[in-house]
Amino acid sequence: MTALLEAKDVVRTYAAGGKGRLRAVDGISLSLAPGETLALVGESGCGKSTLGRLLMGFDRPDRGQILFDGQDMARLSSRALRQTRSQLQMVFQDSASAFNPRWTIGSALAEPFRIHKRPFSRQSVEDLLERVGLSGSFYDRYPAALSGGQRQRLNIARAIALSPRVIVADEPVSALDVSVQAQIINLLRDLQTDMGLASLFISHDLAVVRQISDRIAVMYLGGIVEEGETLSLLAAPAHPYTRALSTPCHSPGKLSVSLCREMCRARFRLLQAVGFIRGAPELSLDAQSSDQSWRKNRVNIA
Amino acid sequence: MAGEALLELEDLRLDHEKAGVLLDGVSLTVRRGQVLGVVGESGSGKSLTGLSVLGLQPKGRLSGTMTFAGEDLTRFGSRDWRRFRGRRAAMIFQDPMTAFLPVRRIGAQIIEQIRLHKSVSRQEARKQVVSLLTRMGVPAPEQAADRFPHELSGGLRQRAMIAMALSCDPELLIADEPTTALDVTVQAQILTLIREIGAREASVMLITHDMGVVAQSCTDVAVLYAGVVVETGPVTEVLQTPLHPYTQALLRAIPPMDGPRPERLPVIEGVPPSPETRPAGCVFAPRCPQVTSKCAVRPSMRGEGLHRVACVLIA
Repeated sequence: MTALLEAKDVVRTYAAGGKGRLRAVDGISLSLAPGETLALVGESGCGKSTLGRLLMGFDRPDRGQILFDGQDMARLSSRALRQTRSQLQMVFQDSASAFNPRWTIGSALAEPFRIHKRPFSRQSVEDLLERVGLSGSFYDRYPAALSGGQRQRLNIARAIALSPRVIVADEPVSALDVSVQAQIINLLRDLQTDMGLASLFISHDLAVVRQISDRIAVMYLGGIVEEGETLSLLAAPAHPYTRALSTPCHSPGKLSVSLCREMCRARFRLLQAVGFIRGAPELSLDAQSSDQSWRKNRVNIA
Repeated sequence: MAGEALLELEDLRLDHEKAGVLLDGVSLTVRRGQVLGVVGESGSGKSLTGLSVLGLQPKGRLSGTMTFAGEDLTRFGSRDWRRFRGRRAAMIFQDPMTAFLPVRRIGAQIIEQIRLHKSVSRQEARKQVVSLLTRMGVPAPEQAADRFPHELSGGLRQRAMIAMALSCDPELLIADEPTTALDVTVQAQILTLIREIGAREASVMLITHDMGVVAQSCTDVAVLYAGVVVETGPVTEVLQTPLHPYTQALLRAIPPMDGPRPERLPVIEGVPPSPETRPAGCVFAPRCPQVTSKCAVRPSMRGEGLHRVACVLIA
């Protein structure tokens, strides 16, 4: 299958206090096929959100290309880019700040139609609300009237308003309670199946990722360390970082508690051992402490 | 874990004149040497429970009993509370950035708290700060004490926050979502620290929405739903054989890390009750898959030993 959205050897650096530049995304190549769900996994600071923003065309790479439907996004005219953007939508993590509190829910959902000059009616917006499991009667209310889970549904409704081909979801469920999280995961899966959406699902939670994705790309410090089909990758993670991340302390119901604790401890030690407890400059104090212990551990493991 | 009871809440209720019933029968016990996880969804009243123990709950009618080491907290006046807070029970919050004053150095803020409760010299207090920071695993504690909150990483700020909370040797540490804002690896470090504190220094009430956190660091757990404790007991028993249908549903909603991938995740239908729709009987009845006619009456906590549950299905 040809790729719908593709990153080719993309580099994005930022000025990092004083000398040097931080390589947030460091030569990543990635492709998303139509209808596929690719999960991008990693800890905060590994560059996964930066990569998401680059793929959305919010930001331009220093080097490399982002191709949407075979076209280089950096070379598109602003008119063509706007066209493309209607097919590429984003779901943000913090649904509270994703909406203007002074706009009604109806006008927030109508905005994408207005921007892209597509026909819409009150009825079509209410249908959209119902599609994500919200009552049409929310039309005249304000985002503040919604709970976190409902607001995340609204966030998703806005993203699918123009029937995009790709959705980039940046930690869409990490701020939610487990019971609500399960509802949103189910909703996302239903929409993916119904609309044939391709999606890039950015998350740090492997249990969630396992449930929703076809493929996983594991990111660490700006690079992809492992990539593969979800279930097989999680069943036999090859890279030590993936192994450390996938230690299951997320499903306490399935494990004996002592085993769970043991695994968490093991995961922590493993992360230290392979040097994955980061020592970025702003973390220097943290780094010193873990530094010493991992040196010791690394000697042990080696 | 059969330490003596330090904090006992019995049928704690909080009626707010505008928001309605906020807590509706919270019964739990924190024993010495215990890390009690208070787990529930947002709005279930877990943070309010913690605040009530420090007398910081919003104005409203508070009823029920709150006993701390034999003292009746419900009879406390403002002078008693001032002596109690920080000294005998202290709290740490989710976001250590907003909990510290941004314009004062970390050390100075901890010294202030120490000198508020103990008559010690500034130099002596400073020594205590350094030793506290060392105990909390802060590297280069001397320098860290002279830093401003924004100069520390999230994990270190949370350590400094815990150091401040422990500065007056409280008997109870209330931690409200202490790791929610932190990275997974840092989270593991802080949870380890909290577990050690529970074992060595003070009993801990750990408020969280995350069952994974409970499994990692608590000895006991109380499950809250809509202002009611529905199940409580040792972590191992509650997580492995949850008895209340709510606890069961909550654990089922977590995506599995092994075995077959379910087509859809089991969800809890409906939403938690609003003040207008609060059922007179069991609060979970409207969403409960196993509801019976007996559920119209509010069940009391029952069960043998420490694992207790408020459900009519349990004999």
